[in-house]
Amino acid sequence: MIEFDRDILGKEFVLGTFHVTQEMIQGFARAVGETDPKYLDAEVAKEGVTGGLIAPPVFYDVFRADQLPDPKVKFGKVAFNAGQRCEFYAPIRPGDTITLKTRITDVYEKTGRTGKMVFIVRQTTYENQLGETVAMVEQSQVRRESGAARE
Amino acid sequence: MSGKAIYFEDVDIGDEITPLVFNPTREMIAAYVKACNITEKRFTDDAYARSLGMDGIIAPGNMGLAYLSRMITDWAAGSVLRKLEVRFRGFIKPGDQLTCKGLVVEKHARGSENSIECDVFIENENGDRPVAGSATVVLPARSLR
Repeated sequence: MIEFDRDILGKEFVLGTFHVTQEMIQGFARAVGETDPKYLDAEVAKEGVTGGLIAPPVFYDVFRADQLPDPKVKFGKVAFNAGQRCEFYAPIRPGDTITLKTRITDVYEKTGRTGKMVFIVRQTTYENQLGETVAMVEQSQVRRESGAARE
Repeated sequence: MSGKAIYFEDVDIGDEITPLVFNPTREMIAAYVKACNITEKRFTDDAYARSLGMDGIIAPGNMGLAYLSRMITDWAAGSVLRKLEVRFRGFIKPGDQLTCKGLVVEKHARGSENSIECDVFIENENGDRPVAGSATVVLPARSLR
């Protein structure tokens, strides 16, 4: 049995509200080498199908909470991103205000060839100022004793 | 380069998505870390990364996700990424010679929305795949033009 704070499972936490600027979107797009004008050029994007500048799907990664709810798992010296399931419902645009809400949905253990691992699954929704959920990201974090190798 | 529009009718199961070369450098990783306000030192500080048991800094896993997303946009302008699901099975490190790849595995026509399911992955020069998963992509239809 893994030792952790079971009461936290399923509880919703508001991680914060973030204002989106055109510069943030362009900065992210440039950092990953995007060349599509819908992510970079507001003038060109206005004439296209998106009707204006939009953020690339993985832009959600710019929203960082100071602190994530901690299930206080008593195992592992180091934590890594094990996987991600993202659903994109609507684009994020400059001027949007995005609110992040997160829940820990599962904590489980597994033994692989490099030893025991504990997985923490977090589901985060991204809601805009109109109350629309624009994205959902389920992230699986793995806690291990060492970062030397990955499964 | 952003590609030309690809229509649902023109895509067949088994089609390959145009691969995207992804050779991360320290500068590219630093730019991603900055754009995303990431403060974790394993992406910027070699000594700290080594203290965790790694050989040196690694790239944030989501940077790989962003490149897979870009591969799809570059291949099919006008497409909309609906879902992206990946497992991180290995680290992405500066100096790696990587290629984002994808393959169309299913086609679905549902009402007005036509989508394809793709296997997507990032492969290194040895054929290992540090990032692998699937994507759902909505494509425009010729018939609705």
